[in-house]
Amino acid sequence: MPPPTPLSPPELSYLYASLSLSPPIRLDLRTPTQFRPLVAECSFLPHCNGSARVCMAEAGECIVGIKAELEKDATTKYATVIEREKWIEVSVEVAGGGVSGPGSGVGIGGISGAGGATGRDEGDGGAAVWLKEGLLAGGAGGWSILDRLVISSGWHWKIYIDVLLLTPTSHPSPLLISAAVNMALDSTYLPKLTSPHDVDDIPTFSDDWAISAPLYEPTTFPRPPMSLPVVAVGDNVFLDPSVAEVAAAEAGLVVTLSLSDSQGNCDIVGIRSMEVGRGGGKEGDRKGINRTLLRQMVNACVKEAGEVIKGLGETTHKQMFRA
Amino acid sequence: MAAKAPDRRRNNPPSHGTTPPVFLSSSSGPVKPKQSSRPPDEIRKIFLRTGLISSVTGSSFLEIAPLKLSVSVLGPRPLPRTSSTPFAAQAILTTEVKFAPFASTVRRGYIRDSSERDLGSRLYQALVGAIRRELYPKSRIEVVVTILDSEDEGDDVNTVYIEEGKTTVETKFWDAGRSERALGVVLAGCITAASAALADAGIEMFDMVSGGVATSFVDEVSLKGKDRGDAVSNKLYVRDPAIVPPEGKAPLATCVLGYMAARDEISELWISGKVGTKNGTAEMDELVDEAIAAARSARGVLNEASKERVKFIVDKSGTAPPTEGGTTDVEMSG
Repeated sequence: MPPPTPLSPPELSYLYASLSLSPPIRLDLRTPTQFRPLVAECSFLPHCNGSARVCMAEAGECIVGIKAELEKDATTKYATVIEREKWIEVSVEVAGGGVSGPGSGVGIGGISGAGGATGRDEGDGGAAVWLKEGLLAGGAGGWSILDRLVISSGWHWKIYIDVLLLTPTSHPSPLLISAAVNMALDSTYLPKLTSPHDVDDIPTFSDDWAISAPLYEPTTFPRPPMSLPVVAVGDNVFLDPSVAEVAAAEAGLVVTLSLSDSQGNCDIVGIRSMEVGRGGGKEGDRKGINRTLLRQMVNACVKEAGEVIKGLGETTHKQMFRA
Repeated sequence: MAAKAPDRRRNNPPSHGTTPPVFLSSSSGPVKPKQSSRPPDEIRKIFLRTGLISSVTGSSFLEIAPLKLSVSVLGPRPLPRTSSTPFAAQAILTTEVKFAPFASTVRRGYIRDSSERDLGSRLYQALVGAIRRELYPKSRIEVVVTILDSEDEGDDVNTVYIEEGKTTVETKFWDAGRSERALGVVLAGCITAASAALADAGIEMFDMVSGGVATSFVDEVSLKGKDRGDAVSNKLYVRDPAIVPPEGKAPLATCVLGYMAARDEISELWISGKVGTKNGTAEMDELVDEAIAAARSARGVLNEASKERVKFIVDKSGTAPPTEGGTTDVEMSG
C-alpha cells in the first residue's frame, strides 16, 4: 500500500505535474539534490555507550541509544555465522504511533512492512532489517563490524541499537532513521579491556571513559553506513524526498552508502527499492525502473551524498564528549 | 446415533484417511553433494508447474536445486463490507512468505520472523507494479508463498573458526553476504513462481515478472591486500549463485531483482554488499546486467510453464470435463 497521505487525487496530479517539469519545481523550492536542514546531536544519553538525536522539519524526530553488553560466545571454539549475526540487535519503535495507530510503524520509510502487510504482525517491520543489513554489508570485502565486537576468546560485545521515533507521520524518511543510527554508531565507545585477550575468564574493563575505545575508529574507513532515499518523477530525480513527493513519485530507491576515504567518496553497500505512491495510480505507464533511470538515481546519490555524510561525521566528532 | 455435522471451526481431516508416502531407496549409492560445475553465466535448472493446488484461484510449484516452494494466489475476492474498510479503487495486494519450520538448518517458528516479513514486502514490491490493479476495484488479491525446502549449508560452511588466543577472527569470506545469497535465491524463486501463479489465476498483468540473482566475486587473495578489493578489476560474476562460493573466491555484492522482460523494467531491486564507485555506477551496472540476464533466463521457464498450463486447459476442455492436476488417464489394456 502506498504511504497514506492526506493528498487528494487533484493535489497529487498537480504535484506530479510540477515535479516532472524541466526544471522541476519542488514544494519547498529545493533544488533536486538539496537536502532538508536537520538538527543533530550525539552522546547525550548518559546510560548509553552511544546515542544520537536527529530532527527534521517535516519528518519528526528520532532518538537512538546504543548499549553494549558483555556476552559469552554461544559456542566455545567457533561461532556460527548465524550466531554471529545475533551480536547486533536492532529495534525500531514508533512512539505513540502515527496515523496508523499505536506502535504500528507500518511501512517505515516506505521500505518496510507495508507490502505483505496483513498489518497486524508487522511491528517495527523491515526498518530494523534494512538497518542491520546495511551495517553488516558495510563490511563486505574482508572487513566486518562483527570482528570489532570480539573481546577475547569466548567473549564478545552484544550491541543493542534501539531506535525511537517521535513522528507525526508513520512514514518518516529513511534518512532520518539512518542519520540517527549513523551518528550514534559513530559516537559509540566501549570500555577498554584490562584483562589479557587470551584468558577464558570473564574479562575485566577499565572504568575510565577517557581511555575507552571507539567502535568505529574515527580516522579509519569504512565509516558507519547511511541510507539515502531517492525518488524519480518523469525524468527528474530527487534526493531526500518529502512525504508528499514520495506519494507522487513513480519510482523510489534507498541507497546505502559508506564513506570510503577522507575526500568524501562513498562506496555503495546496499540498494533497495522503496515503495512509492505512484501518484495515486495516475502516473504514466512506467511500472518499474529502467536501467538508464536506475543509473541516474544512483549517480545522484553517489555524487551528492558524500558531502552530507562527511559533514554529519564531522559534526559528530566535534560534539563528542572528548573531541 | 445421528451423523454429526462437520465442525466448521476446525480443519477437518479427509473422511477417507490418507496414505503415508513411500520413498524409494536410492539405487545409485550414497548421494554426495557436489560443487556445481556449471559455468558462471548459467542458471540452475528450474522446475515450474502451475495449477497443482485445486482449492485456490491460481497456484504454482517451483524447484531450483534444493529450493522448493509453492505459491497460492487467492482472489481477486471482494473486500469485506464493513464500515472500517476504506474504499479501494485498485485491488489491494497482500503477499506473505513463510518458511516451513523444517525448511532450513535452523528451525523456523510458526510466526513469521523479520526476515520472512522482509521477503514478503520485497515480493510485494516486485509484483505490485505489474498487476493491473485498477481492473479489480474493491477487491483483494493474496499471494501466499510456502517455502518447503531451501538451500542451506552444512556445518562446514556455517562456521567461522576463531583461532585460540587471537583477538581477531580470520574471516572466511563467505561470512559476508552469505545470508544475502541464500535469501536472494529464495526471493528470485518466489518472484518467478508468484508470477506463474498469478497468470494461472487469470489475473491481468502488464507483464510477467521474473526473478534473477547475481553475485560478484573477487579472488580471495586480492582482498587480503591493503586495498581491500578497491583495485580489483577481474571480477567474476556468477548468476544464480550457490551458497558455497567458487574455489578461492570471495563474494563482494549480491543483486536480486524482479524484471519485466517485455518492458525492460526493474520492479524490485535489492543490492547488498560492497559496490565500488570509482568509475561512477559502472560496477553496479555490470552487476545489475548480470542479474537481469539471470532473470531473462528464468523468464524462458516462466513462459513455458504458462504455455504448458494453457495447453493443458485447452486440451482438457476439448474432450473431458476439466479436472485439476496434471494426471492423464491411463489406458486400460490386457
